[in-house]
Amino acid sequence: MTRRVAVTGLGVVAPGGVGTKAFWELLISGRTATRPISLFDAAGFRSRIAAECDFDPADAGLGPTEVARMDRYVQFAAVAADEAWRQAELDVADPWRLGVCMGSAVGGTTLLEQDYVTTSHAGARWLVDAGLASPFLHRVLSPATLAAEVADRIGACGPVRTVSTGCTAGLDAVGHAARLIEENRADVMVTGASESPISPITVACFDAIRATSARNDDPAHAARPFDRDRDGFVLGEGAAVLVLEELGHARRRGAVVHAEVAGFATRSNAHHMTGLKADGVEMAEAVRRAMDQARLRLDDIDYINAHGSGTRQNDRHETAAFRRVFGARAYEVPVSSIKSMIGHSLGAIGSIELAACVLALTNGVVPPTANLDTPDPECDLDYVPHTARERDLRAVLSVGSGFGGFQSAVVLARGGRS
Amino acid sequence: MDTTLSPDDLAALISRCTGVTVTGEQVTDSARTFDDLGVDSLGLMGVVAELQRNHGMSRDVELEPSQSPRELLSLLAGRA
Amino acid sequence: MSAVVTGLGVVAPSGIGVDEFWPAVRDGHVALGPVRRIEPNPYPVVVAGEVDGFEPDGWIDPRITVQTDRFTHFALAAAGMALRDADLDPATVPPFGFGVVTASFSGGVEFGQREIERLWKDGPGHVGPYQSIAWFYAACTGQISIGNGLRGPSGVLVADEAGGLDAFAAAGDELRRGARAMLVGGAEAPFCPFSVCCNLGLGLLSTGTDPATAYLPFTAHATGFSPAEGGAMVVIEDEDAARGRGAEVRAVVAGHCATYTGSQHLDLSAEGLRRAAEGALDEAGLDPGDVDVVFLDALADPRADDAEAKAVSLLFDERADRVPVTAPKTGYGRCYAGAAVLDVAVAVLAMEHGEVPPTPGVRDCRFDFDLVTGASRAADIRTALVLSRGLYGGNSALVLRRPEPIRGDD
Repeated sequence: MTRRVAVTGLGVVAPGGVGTKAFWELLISGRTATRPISLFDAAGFRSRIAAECDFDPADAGLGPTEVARMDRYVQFAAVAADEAWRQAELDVADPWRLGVCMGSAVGGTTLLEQDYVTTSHAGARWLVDAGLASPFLHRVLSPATLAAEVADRIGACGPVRTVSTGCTAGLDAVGHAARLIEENRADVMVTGASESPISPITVACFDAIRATSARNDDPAHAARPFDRDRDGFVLGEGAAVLVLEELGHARRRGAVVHAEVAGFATRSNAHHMTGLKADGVEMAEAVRRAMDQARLRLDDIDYINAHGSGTRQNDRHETAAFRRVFGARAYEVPVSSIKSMIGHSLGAIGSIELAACVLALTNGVVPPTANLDTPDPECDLDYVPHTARERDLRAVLSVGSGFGGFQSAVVLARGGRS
Repeated sequence: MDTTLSPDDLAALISRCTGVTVTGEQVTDSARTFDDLGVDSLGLMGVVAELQRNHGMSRDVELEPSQSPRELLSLLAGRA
Repeated sequence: MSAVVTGLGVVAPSGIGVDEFWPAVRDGHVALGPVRRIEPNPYPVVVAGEVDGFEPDGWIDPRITVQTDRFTHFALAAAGMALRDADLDPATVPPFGFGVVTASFSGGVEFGQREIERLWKDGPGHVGPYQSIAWFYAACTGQISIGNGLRGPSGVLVADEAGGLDAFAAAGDELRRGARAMLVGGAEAPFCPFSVCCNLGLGLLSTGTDPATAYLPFTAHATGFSPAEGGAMVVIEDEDAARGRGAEVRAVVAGHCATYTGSQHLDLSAEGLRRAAEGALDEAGLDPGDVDVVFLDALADPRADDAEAKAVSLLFDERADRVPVTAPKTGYGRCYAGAAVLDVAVAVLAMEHGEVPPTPGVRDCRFDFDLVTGASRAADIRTALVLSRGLYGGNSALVLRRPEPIRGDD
């Protein structure tokens, strides 16, 4: 018997607001959350803008010991997990069937870098001074602690792990969690992803390969996916957490099923760590396999949430992939990139985009692509410029693409289908 | 700051930054692109950044792997 | 599960390649020694397992060497060996039919420290273009995929050592869903000053100064584990695909289960490990009575050792003192995300050779189980159980079986 996977809870911490409500309001307004970097002094960097969260851990409900122990990205995840867990109203009978799978690309970089600066005397010593390290430093070396912190909050005793496939981690974590339910390795999975990459080393990394936008004098218009005048992506931060539940488990307890995770697949281009081939073959393959698993026809997809990072090669690559899979239908389905509004939060963004997809399904609204004034002539689909659009949505597709050549696709279907 | 660079020096710098063994002769051959040599876009960014930091090359220079090391050589300060 | 092991690639302190590694492990050779990769070494961890003599030249394209950390060098070398061992040319596998899942823990730390040093010493423009692809946890999966033309499903799991076993389950699930072959494994290269500084805080690293006594799990002298570098990659294939191409089936990946008992509660891992073992055996269609050998996690922390011994006792009940158990990693150290994958490799080799390798250095075991010490022991092993824990609370178990000869062949 095929085990199906329901979404019964949702929590978000994103640029523009803490909580699902604030997040959705930002998305449908078409506003952008990009601003000059305030989290550190970015003078001297090529890209000095980012989409930052206005996040106060105490206001968000975390205690002082939690704040001390957790890096910023873990704090985001904890707050998003609390919201999702409350919403799911789940009284788990068997903690051994409850698991956690969280995604992150760069993990505890923020605290890692702070402690590096302290212990190395700002880079002066290769042999860092271990005596100056924070007592919690060991918890930020590996993102293994991200899933562990969430598991400790909800009392999970089932499979607990972090997925770290770079910029597709947010999709892959949710896809992997859904797999664990389908394969009968768990009944309930708390899953999602988190990232707080707005720190000097990460900003410098992307400076070095000119991947990020340098439109420093006009942050609000810097993230411009599919637009002719784009110049790279805008770094973001945040977290989203979904509660996934075996469909029968959810139905038996009368839970509200917001959506179904109907299909997931990931493929690799085996081409280049950062480069993409223009033909989009591997992303197309991931989409097809996710559609197969969902047992949906191409015509059933009413919205595509694009990776839409706003680099030239990405925008063309995925446009080619959509054309390859959907043929003429590609021109009829609305496609949008919420990275235009909340930036690209690396490993977190896939889960944040899935949260947006769930909200799009339940509200019947397609979020727009902000700042799309003049489409790149090579990008000729309907990218929903500027303004959100009401539309009855039955099923939606979200795709991601990342360093390492990874291409992932998740299909969500409206809750309540037979 | 060292602003002069012989073809052999440039070849050594490219080899160090990209792991591709390159000779001075190859970098003066205008028919040979970075692609031909097996230097990809990331490697080329490393080469350009190194030249900008230590050899006075203009910060505005951006190169594609379809261009040649010879073009790079001519862009170096004092040679253009 | 119909996943079968067809190739092993190992880069470990005990040996590079199975031909070096297995005799050293079988004979209980101790490959631990003083830390040499950090000179001078100002840190209290002085005994470690280093892969002496491993240089990327000859294993890795120099263009890739400059853009990758040592942990990825290990993984790439191990992947290449595993493919050769399996005699499997990826080009013969259908496109999108061959994927990679690695376990990762701390990423490209040495490369990362060098680049972050440039940033803070010299300024933002001094970070090189490879930092973005060398440091992150997905570097091994990405480079293995690219280096070998693998376009199938890929993954990166992070759960410290336990993630190495979880990776086999994830890859096995992909085989059931249509993939033909997967490279599974993990590697770690934790010996740079900053990552050692990070790892010290957990308080589980041995500060012993004598390689012969620094890492002695299950004894009164257990004071933590000796960290190691290295790892392993394993080719697993769909059984029909493997047999169809005439490959030698080395072992069957028969069952897996993962549990979690909290990142602050090593004592609770007794129940967690027992349930993981039972779940893995259940998936394999087996009972604890079928287990012929157990490869232990062996953290060498008194609470952790108590918990693991208790798990074995609960699992086997009155048979607990008669099932051979062993921890070969005391001979070469614990290499985080690579450690459990090395245990899987040892388990496959042990089944093939009919020998349980010993727990080097350990003599006075304080538990009432049958810990194999001193020398290897001949044994007819049909079923091996591998136990593993993550430093942050995960417990995983993997069941491997010796393949049954196919009746009616020829």
